[in-house]
Amino acid sequence: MSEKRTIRGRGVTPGSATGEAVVSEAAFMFAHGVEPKNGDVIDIRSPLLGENVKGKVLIFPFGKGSTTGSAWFLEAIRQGNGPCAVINVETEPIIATALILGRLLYDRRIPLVDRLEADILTVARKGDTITVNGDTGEVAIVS
Amino acid sequence: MILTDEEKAYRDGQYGEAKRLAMELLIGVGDSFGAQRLIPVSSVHILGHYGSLHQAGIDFLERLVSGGGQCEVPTTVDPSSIDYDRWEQFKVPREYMEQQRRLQVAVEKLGVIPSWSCTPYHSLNVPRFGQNVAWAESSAIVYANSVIGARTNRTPFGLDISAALTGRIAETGLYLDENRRGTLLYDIQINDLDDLDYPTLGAIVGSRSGSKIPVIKGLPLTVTNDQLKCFGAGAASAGAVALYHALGITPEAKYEDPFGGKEPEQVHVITRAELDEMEAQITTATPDQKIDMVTMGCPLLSIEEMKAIYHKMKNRRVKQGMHFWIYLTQETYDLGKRLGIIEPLESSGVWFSTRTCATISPVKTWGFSHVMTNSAKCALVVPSEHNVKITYADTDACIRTATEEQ
Repeated sequence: MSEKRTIRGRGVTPGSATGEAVVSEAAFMFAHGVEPKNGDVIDIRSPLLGENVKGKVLIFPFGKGSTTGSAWFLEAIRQGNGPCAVINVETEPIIATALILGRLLYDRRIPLVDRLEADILTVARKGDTITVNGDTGEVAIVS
Repeated sequence: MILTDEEKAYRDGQYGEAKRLAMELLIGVGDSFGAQRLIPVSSVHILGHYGSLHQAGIDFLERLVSGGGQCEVPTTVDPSSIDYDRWEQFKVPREYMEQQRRLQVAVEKLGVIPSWSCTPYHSLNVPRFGQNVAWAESSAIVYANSVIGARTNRTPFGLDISAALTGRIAETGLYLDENRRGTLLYDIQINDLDDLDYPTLGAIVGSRSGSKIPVIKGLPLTVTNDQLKCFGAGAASAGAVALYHALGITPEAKYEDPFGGKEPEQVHVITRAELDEMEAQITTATPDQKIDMVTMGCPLLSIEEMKAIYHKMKNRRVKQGMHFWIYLTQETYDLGKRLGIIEPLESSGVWFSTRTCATISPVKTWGFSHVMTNSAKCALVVPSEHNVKITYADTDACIRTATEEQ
């Protein structure tokens, strides 16, 4: 378990959520990467293969893969199977588009924070409880 | 981001609810990567296949329709997940067809040109050198940036139609001169490149380049647009290549130095041995596994590619129990009919399909376990969708496998 601490970053999408961390050190994709019906990671090349992202704080460096990824991610959000928050090293348009549309279409506020002052991929560990505040850009490792 | 008065009017809903939503998304995404401003785009190419867009995609497009949205710039659409004319022949489940139809209706109500093609640059959406466009579809993006010298990022679903409705996109990435310079040099030391070598070369370049921009040395000046199309599709699907420069061939490497006066960070020599190795690696099947289906047309075939297949197919017919499916644009199909090269192949057992392709359609209803193709993109993408083994081989081998002399 990681030490309790608060890390400052940049809030990209608003809202605040607390959940259990799942961490991918590799770039992450939603197109053929996450099954929208249940939130299972199905990308055979992903280190998170077999894990589930529903309700989790999903941490990865940046998005990758097909430009359809925003639709796959948005569908997972629509079905209530998306993460409760996302932390990126540096976000990119596939991820940002899905989260903004999640709010505009389905009123689901999933905070996204990136550009943290510490390396989140080494600081956060799987199973940590983390609060992500997209309004202030703060990430708190609670326990 | 600094907005013009007109852009603020979009954001504030003065042009209707659809354009307000579109502008909110454009600004939100633009802010997320620190863009300074929005810029006009002269054309858009959007995604439109249900297989990837899901219900969420339908929801967004229908929301834009009910909000009174209309495209402000010429906008084409990528292939559909179904053949609208032959969906029953291809055993597409009715509910799936109905979902794609909903998407189709929404797309067309928004004023999108119903091209349903991944090669919009052949007709209907042909940018000029240096124009800013906002395209989705990885193989078309790489063609527009590289072969034409137009400018687009990899525009994701959602942002694509928002750009169409407002004629704007955030100025970042490949819209900026400084981000279009090559940093990796690939020196191709092979003299006799054949058709299959181009997508294979693309797969090598794509898998080695990450997010960096490759510069290719050693392509012949006689390389065709179709060969560049297949090279780019391979590079975009094996990696994330959105732009490459081919020395002496593509415009930004013909009239200027694609490295911007700098030395390449890395030089990689590609020999015939590496090409053969990649070709073998794309094949996932073992030679003893029976092939159920042979497919061509990813990206969708041009008329020149269709003519070449026709000539190779003379006096041959599809083997009993074998499926041979060829995917092409509606324009290629219509031109082929006028040339009289479609019907003879249809009567010899070839199934043609337009406005869709094997890569994005629900082929799994057939239960194929082993598919053969001459497309690197199809070979790389299909297994993730359909759980099949792939044999990757040239057009002659595909035809020999699918057909016999009659």
